[in-house]
Amino acid sequence: MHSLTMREPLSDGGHSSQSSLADLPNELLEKVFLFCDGITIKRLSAVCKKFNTMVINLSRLKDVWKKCVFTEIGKEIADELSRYCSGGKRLDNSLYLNDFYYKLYVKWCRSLNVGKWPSTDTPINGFFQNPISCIKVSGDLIIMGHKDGCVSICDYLSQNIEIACRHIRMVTDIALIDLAGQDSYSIFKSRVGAISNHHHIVSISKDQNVRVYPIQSASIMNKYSHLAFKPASSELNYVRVFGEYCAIYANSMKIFLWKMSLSSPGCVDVNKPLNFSLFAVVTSPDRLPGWFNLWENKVRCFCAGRGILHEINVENAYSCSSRRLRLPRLGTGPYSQYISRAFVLRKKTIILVMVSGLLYYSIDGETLHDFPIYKHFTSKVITLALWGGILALGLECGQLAIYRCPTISDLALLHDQKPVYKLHLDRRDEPIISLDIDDYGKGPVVVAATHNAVSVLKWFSSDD
Amino acid sequence: MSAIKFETSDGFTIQVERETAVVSKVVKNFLEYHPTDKCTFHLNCVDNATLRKVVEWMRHHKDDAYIETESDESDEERSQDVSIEMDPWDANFLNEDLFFLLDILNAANFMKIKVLFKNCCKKIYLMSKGKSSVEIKRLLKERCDFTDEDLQRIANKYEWMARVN
Repeated sequence: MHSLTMREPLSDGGHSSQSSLADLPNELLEKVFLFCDGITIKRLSAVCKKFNTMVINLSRLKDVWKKCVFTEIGKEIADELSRYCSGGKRLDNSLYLNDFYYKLYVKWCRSLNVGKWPSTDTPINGFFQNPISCIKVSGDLIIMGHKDGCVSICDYLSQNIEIACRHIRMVTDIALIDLAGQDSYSIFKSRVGAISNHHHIVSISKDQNVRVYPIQSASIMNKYSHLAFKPASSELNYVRVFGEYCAIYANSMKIFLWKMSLSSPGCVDVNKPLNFSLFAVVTSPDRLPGWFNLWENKVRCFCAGRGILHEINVENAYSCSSRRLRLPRLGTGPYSQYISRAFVLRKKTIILVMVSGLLYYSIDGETLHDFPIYKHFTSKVITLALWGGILALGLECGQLAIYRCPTISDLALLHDQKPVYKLHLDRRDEPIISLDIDDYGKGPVVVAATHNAVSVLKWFSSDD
Repeated sequence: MSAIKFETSDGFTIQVERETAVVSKVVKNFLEYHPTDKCTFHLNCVDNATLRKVVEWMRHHKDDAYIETESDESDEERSQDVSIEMDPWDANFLNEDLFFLLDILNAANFMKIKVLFKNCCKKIYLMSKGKSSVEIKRLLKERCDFTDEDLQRIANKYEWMARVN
């Protein structure tokens, strides 16, 4: 008769009854932990020293943060938080460092702490001579487009403003480029060592010119690094950048698409211009003004006239699919009478602002829903920004309202929530015209601008 | 009749039919190399109550094809599997207190019963899911070996990451 004795590999336990989870051998404990979701793992790490060591080792060795990112955030927001980077940073790429997911996750978590953490509000005034037309934020820098055609860079730490570029007429839109995919850039020479998350600016103006230049002050910029071209003899309305693609919406209903690259891959050289190669020119399917967004390699363009959403795949410029949004019954006339602004956001999200002040949203790009958060305010929404877990609304009365919106589907749950943060930007009740959100390294930063004033809101954690 | 015997750490002997016993990878592998009808396995670390529970599970699952196909996958593959889906019978079967669950987990590990082991892990996860670290500590009856300072530091570091609902 055969017999086999199975012994416990570790002799200390002997009999495991009356034991606790912490008495499990490490390799078993690790296996239990691998079944847990992100939050539970983080909480387990605060239970006892053994668990803490386990989790720290786990997060270094295994894909805990990757798991957190995919189960809690969702790919769309994760893509957004990876700062529109392309340089080897695509989410399905196994070349990713685990560290990357940790940073991304922390970024997202921090964005949820708006209104919970202490904040600082830095007002920057004095733009009466030179009103602002649009604004962007990148790390410690604010990039402002002005009505006289200047693009200025301000580091809000020292409030030092420098001109980066001069157009002849009003700057209509700005987009920021990060092709190298580094964490931060210190190209802009400031006294306080301000850093940015991008390395180049692309600005468009009413003089029909597109200009691309590094984030540097004009006084030290090498003139050969400055790129200027005129894609169309019509006004340029919007510019968007996603990864290596840049798209511009012209008033002639044309959408221009470029593929950008660094002169030497992976290395930012501020003395050499970026390579812009025209990828496609697509005529907007509707002969009416619209709004658009670029996400991955798809342009989505919303035309107010007939309430139709067009999706244009950049990989194939000749194919253009149009999908009609199911707009709720708004009346009899054309939709342009009712829609005052449309915000085409992320991959599928759309928020419509009606002339009446009503709001509609769609998160699937197909159906529109009533968005009754306008009831929280007395004035109309002029501009809005969505980033990570933050939805910021800029109102006509000069008020800034910030909501917490952790995942895409949480947009639907904002109905009965109050804004987590409110700020009245301007004493003269000037409307907020431009908003942008970014991460300054330790938390989210929201900039809001009226024509004459800028406000920088930073949230910071007490543990750093 | 072929019968496999298990001897528990507290001296009991349980006789199990061959097709039930081979749910355990250890038994299966042993029998492949030592073809025999009669055989006793001494389980030094599994007590009577636990073994009865495990055998009950083995009997219920002896005909399930997936038990067989469950291969020795790498840890990497497992970490990709975020599904915590469980057979409802198993979920009900494992409605036990944590200590018994840990005994089952240990037994499943020693006897190499992958699915049972996995389900125990999932069950432990489900028990601690949605609880704060203090609640988890109470649930798992863990000894607290952190100083107050440590606790504050760790709580700051991880609790702010937890999603605000």
